Amino acid sequence: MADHAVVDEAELGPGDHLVVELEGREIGVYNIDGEYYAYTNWCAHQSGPICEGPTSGLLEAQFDRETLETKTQYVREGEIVACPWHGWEFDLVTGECHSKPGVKLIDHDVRVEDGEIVVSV
Amino acid sequence: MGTTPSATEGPPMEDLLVVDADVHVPEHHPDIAERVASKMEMPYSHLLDPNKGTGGYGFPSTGSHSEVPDTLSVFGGRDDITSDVTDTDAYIDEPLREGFGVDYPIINMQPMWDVYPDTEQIVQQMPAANDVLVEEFMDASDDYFGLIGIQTRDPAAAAAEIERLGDHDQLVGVFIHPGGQERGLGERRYDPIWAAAEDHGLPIVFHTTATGNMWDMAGIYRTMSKMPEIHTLSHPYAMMWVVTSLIANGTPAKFPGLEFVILESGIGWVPYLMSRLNREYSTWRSQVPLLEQMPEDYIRDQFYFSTQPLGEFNKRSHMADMIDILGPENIMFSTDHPHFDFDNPESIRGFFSHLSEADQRKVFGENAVDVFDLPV
Repeated sequence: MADHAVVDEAELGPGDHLVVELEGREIGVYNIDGEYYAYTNWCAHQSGPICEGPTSGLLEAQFDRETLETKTQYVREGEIVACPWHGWEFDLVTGECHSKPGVKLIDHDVRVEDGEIVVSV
Repeated sequence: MGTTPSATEGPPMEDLLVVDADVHVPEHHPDIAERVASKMEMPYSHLLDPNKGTGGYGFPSTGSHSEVPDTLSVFGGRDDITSDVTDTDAYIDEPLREGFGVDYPIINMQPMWDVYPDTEQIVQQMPAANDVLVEEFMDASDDYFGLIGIQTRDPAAAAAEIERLGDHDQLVGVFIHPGGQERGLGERRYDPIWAAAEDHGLPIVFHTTATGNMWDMAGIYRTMSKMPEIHTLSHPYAMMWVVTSLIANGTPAKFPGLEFVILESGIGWVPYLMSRLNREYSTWRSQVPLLEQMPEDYIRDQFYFSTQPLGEFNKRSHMADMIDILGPENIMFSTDHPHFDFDNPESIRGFFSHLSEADQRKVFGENAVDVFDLPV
């Protein structure tokens, strides 16, 4: 494992992300509301470039058994990434896949040090 | 008979030359069909002859495993064997219970109401038919069980019918003839039906017909020429749509206590559909936000599939593989009595012989006892 200074803190504001190559692997680095996350740019479905996909929110729904009505909410804008290949949705905060239970992104430690974003790979 | 008394004496309209532009002698009436058939080549000379068995289906045998005619026949079956459907000794006990060793038949009237144009009619016909089911069949024997037939075009009326009959001890499920509905069965307009069935602990049983289904998937079926063409596809097409529509609209998640039984489509297509729905769902998750697990999990948890007509690979063991992939937990035996494509239980048992005895018991009776909550 080695630490890599990827970019200045000032260049990765909330809602930004970039893909860098570290140790021969492509890594996506995200700033979500001031917190940093790093994931291997690889989708568990068919190896697509997950970190090149659009970010979005998550559609949630609840069914009211009494009224037979379904309520939906679109929440967590910017915290979900969809793979550009087949649309599998991953949670950028937890790394979990919303499209298939039990699947995760490969995550890496990220921290800020001396004004730089440092990723351990 | 039925003539209007004329204002004058003598024959009517005598002063005028009358030509009637429309008088019918129906070409399909048995009397005429017989004569037309005799002028045609095989197989059509067989197909059209009302004395040859299941008229309209056109296969060389009588298509009947007993003295009971295949009641799908356009002409009511062979003229040398006859049985009133309400004669339950002849229609059910002899061929099924004695002949095939069936202990408990679950009886449906196969009402094809989805293809009847008049909504008011089918709303009235629904309770009328179900009352006949009770009076002629449920009352005939404590060993008979039945399914409440519903039309789905008026979901509130269907739910009311389930409320009316849902507590009858022998009525153990709800029967729907799918395929002619104006929308896929997962549309929310049908939710009152599922709610009523779930409230009464009644599974939903789906069964279509080769001809009935022609009305809705008309664009496909009206382009088909041969009965084998139609019959091969009509059942599984309709059921693929039922399963897919229910899952794609979140119905099993909305009604987690509800179970669905799919009849007369065989079982080999189910593993394929599981795998395809899993793949499709993973791409379209945000359009089906109510699902909390994969489509395959809902199928394994809440759907059951009857064996008839069991498919026949060249290599018998391939069907054993299909049975293993779907799993004996989700398979129920059926005959489809008295239809021509029935299955003999002894023969079907051979396809399940690789299973443990406990699993064979599940397939042949215990799954049904469980899902239909039979008091046996």
